[in-house]
Amino acid sequence: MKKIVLLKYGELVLKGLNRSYFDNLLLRRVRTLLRGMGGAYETDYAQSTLCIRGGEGADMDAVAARMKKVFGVASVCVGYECEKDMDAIRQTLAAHAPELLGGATRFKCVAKRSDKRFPLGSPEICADCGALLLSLGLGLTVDVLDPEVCVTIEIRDRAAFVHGGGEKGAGGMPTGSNGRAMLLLSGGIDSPVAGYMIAKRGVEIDGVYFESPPYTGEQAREKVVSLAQTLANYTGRMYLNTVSVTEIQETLMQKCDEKLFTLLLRRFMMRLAERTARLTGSAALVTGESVGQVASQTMSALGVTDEAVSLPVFRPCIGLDKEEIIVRARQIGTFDISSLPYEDCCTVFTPRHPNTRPTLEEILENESRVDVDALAARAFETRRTLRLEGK
Amino acid sequence: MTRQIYLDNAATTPVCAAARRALEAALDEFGNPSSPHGAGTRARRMLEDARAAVAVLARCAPEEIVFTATGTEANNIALHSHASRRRSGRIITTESEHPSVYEPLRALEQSGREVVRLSCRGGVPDYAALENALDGSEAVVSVMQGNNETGALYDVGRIRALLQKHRSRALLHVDAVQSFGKLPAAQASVIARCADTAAFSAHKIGGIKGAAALFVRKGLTVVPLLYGGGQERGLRPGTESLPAIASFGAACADIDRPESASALSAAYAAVCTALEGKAKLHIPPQHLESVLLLSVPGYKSETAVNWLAEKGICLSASSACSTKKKQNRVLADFGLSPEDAESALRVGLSRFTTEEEAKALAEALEQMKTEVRRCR
Repeated sequence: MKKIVLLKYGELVLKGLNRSYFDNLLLRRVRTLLRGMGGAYETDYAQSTLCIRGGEGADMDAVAARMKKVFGVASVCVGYECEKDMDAIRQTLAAHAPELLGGATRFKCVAKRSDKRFPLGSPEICADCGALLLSLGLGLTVDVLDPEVCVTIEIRDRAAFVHGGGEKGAGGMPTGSNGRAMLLLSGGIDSPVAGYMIAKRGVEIDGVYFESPPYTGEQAREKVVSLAQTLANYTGRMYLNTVSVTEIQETLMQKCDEKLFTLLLRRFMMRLAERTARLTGSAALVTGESVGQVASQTMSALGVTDEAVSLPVFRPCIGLDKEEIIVRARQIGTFDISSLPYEDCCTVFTPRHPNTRPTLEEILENESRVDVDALAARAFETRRTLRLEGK
Repeated sequence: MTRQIYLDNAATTPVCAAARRALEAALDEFGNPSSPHGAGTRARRMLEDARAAVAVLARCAPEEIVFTATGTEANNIALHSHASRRRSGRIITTESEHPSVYEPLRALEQSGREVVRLSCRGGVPDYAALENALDGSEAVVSVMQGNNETGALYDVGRIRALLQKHRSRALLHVDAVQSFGKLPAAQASVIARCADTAAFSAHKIGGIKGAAALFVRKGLTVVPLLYGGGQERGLRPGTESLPAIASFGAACADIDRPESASALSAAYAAVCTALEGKAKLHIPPQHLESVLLLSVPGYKSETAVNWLAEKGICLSASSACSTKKKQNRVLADFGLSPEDAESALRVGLSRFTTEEEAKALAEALEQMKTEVRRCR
């Protein structure tokens, strides 16, 4: 018997004639990750399950942990592969029961039989294996209604797999299967979560960060790089663009109404993000906005912000409460980084009494006081790109 | 932009030439000072020479110096010890202490000890409140000598005099990390004469990071925080970091020259003159010459620090101007207006700071005002 990791495919199994496109993307990603890990591995795909076998120097637990961050995978199971006969299966269970159960005492057996010629039916397999487990003297009890662990026996074409049911994977669709989008990334809690939610759907995400030196400093930038790196660890690679909006902010402060300041700046940010997006082949923008969270995110404000661009704008957090966003941020590992207290450009020149119900007329009138195109063009020239590889 | 003007000497200092030489020599002397053979004996000798050098600067006996790794550690050992040896009784301190004193005392307060914090408005401790708190129930007094954010100098001699006047049995600990080696000759022996324990640190005077000292008055029993192999008379066991300690000793010897004090004074005068009219200087009546607190009203600290850093000038922001951060405790107690606090900067000077550097800072601030937008 050999230790293996099984990756159960998720939503991509619903695909029709183009199914192999998705499979290949996922397989490529898994193989790239395995190449980066110490040890020799083999991958073998069958029936919506990818089996990873380890050779010399392989660390299957490390592989399982890494695979939990791959989009497209519904669950990750660490288990054992053995010959397709009941003796071998019983031996495997006996040898590895404590590991498969992981400290649980209430279990049930689940059998999946893709080879219908196998002598025992699924219920018999479960009964046989269940009896064996109970006989091991580990203090186990069978509970089919509320088991802690589902000890799973899969009878496949060439071998049998035995595992403890596995853990939830990242879900979603394989990265690269759904185009590219440009994420407006700040150091806050919301935008990384928004980026993750879109990336999960298989979209390749790049980021654009707006800084305002000297009002914002190195530490604020490093915080954003850290957040982008966290996202890249899920998607495999991310390009982070940095654009300076210092001149824009200073000009707006001089020439425009203070109450509209944040919205005017956001419209510039959207324009710059769109320009960057078109340059890199992204078909949509992504922001972390949520209705009503701050003054610039009321319905009318969002409408005014959108009007500045023509690319679709995805706002996956639009209906989430702050609390819900925080839960997700903790899950993906961005919350602690976002909580570091460095100024970002939006907080430096915040108006005391922002206009929460701006009209397009007021906005356009204010914009007519400055040379929007020239300011945007000069800001775009400050763009620098950093390539981040997922770890 | 290649120049580097380092004006953050209150945070740490460049390693001085003497310290660097001592460090290199110590790397060759790799023996464990506690070993009984040649390598160990030579290392032991180097260690004791360093101790003697620190003691000379502190104007105390070598046996009164215990090496630790950091000033924070020295403060913690002293406070933990004093609070244990005087099991009950109020602890008196100031509102403007460094976190390495403030936090251990806050922890003691949370476990039930009474802690009285004296205000130091304008950089002057409330000596009247101190006297009021000396009613016989006091057990520990912990006051810093030089404040790292405001540059204020607190009168340790006067505090000792007050304790004597009231026949107080309280133990007096002084955090001298910012003031050690930076006071005029006449004040160099205040700690040794007046304090029961005190903390010093190497990397504030040109030594490398990783060595510091706790002064323990002869005859005083100290309860250790760590237990182990008995080094440093059992007060701070653990194999001694000879390279760091050797650099500490050399830095002490190097700074203990009359030229050092006059160079520092000259630097301080130069900075004050250069900044006259260009920034708001907050100079307490009694002050260190190594720390200067100033404000540039209308320019947030973080912005100014970033801008100056771009121009090669390093100094630090003494404030918490973002709405996300809490107010700065020390500056609030000092009494700065919100506008001054929001734009507070700290210049950390050393005996190596030059007049050119002072002028460059002043020019840079003027240039900043033309290039950076004022906040409302």
